[in-house]
Amino acid sequence: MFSLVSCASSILEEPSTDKKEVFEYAWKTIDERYSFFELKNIDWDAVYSRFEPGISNSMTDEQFFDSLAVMVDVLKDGHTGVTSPFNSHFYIGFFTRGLENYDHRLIVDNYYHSWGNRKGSFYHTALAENQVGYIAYSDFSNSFTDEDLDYLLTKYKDTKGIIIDIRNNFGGSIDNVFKLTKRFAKEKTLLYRSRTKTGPGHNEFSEPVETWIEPADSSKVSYYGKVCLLTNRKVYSAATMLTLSMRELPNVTVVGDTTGGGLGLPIGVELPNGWQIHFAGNQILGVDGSPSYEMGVPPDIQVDMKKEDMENGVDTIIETAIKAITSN
Amino acid sequence: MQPFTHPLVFKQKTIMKKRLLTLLTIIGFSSSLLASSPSDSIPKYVYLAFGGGLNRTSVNETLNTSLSYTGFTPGFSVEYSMATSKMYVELRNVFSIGSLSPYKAGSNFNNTMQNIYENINLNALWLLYKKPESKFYTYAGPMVSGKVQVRGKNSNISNSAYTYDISASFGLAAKVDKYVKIDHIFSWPINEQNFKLGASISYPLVSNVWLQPYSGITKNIAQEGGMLLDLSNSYFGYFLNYTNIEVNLAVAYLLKNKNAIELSYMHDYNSTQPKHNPSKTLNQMLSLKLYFNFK
Repeated sequence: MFSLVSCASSILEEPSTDKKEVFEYAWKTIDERYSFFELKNIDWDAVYSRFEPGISNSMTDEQFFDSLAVMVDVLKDGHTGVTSPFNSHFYIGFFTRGLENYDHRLIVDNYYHSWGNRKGSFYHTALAENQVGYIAYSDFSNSFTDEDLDYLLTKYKDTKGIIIDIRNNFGGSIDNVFKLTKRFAKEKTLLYRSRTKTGPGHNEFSEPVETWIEPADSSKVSYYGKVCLLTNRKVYSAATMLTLSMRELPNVTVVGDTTGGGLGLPIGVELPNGWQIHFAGNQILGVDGSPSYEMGVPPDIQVDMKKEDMENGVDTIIETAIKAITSN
Repeated sequence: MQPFTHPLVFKQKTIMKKRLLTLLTIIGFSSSLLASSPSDSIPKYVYLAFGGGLNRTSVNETLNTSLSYTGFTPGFSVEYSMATSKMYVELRNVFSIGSLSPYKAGSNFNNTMQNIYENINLNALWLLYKKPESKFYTYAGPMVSGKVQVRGKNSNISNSAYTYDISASFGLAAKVDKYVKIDHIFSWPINEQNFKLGASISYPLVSNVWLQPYSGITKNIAQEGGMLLDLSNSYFGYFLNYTNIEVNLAVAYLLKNKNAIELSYMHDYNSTQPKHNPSKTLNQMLSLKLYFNFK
């Protein structure tokens, strides 16, 4: 009886603040569960050799935190970071691979004819003498309703096309991917495949699972005209997933710059000292089976903002999209 | 030839026995079943019981944390039990929900875990051995159980914050009941009171155990309507890779109207040993139950 009662203490383990132990746990967890070593050609053992000798209990917590942060930055993944009670670190370098390609003030000054038109999380306006509807969605963390989309797609139903501007959208809930995409899908469409880690090996994955989208039901407003999706390097995570999905629809053209990527969904663990690390734990594959979209989804029409256009109040990417829609 | 016992020693032994029995009764070592009348040769009854108490949950899981968690949460139970001259049948549901904290963590830890514990147990036991003169009964037989533990962490670990272990088991259970009369508390005489002491144990022989996949991220999470929990990931459990020992101890005070009040202790130890990410949990619930007789 005593041994049974004493089981509580036998299964509970005290946390450890030993920095070597915390480092080992962090490194090993990423080694076994991070999903893009092969794609990014990262030698994680070399990372261990580089950082481990510098870890000691004589470090301050701040110094130790910085060491872990620099270590996880080797993955060059915006879903990777370290969180402690006193600081949080995220890798943000993914959007420095290209130009900014977005100027919010320029759009407000030159394209929003009535600044403040907002439905749910969408800002919107008509462009090119009402031939084109413009809908901006800058944060997937902000939700929207079916009624919001019904209103917008009804309002712009007689246009030649709609621009959906998701530049600078860092992502959020992937539910928004499906809610948006199905409004522009005329037929059931394969969007992408996904696979998850099934073991500690760098290439141990499940069989890919296909993700399909059905068209929105008839009670909701759909739009089958031309659609241009505007992207830049700050389109990340769920916003990149939207790009990967929308590009499979025949009426959609992606315009702008390659997205920042970040398709692997973030997971994490709690370290022995209570801090947390997080990193990508699965792979989203394109319809072609490639995991390379993790590094970014390329546009159908590659175009950067030109300096001379910006000086004249012109958004080169929006103008390119307008041309794509209005030209025959 | 009977060994000689000095009268003083005999008296001391009798007092010690009573004190021990009283002590055991007071601290709760007793049975989870109640007799309609301790004067019956074999207890027969139908009881519906409602209980409430405090559950200490301890968790040591490895999928998304290296911390152990523990804490006290409120627990509730509903129980139907029936005894005939040959059998004892019990259907019991125990539920507990609340927040746990890292074990022995310093003040700079901001981690918490929300824990849900659900335990459904059906025992159908035969009366195997009886000793009516000392009101001692032993039962044994099959049991089926369903146990669910779902845990969510409030720390920044995103899509892998949820873990669970769910088991459906078939196994064996046994229980012993001992009816006693108390007419002393230590050396103080009291009106005669009827109690029942007892213990039960159950152990699964075969189980199906559902767990989060390897990384704590489900294979359908990237699909429309994708879930954070995925019941397609499970394994066949047996004694080498799944352990679940549940022990119940209780003392019941039998009222004259055939209802009863019971102080019970449940000790439910659960250990999963899949290929990756083993976990151990322990629920220790102390509760007070009210038994209503329907026979």
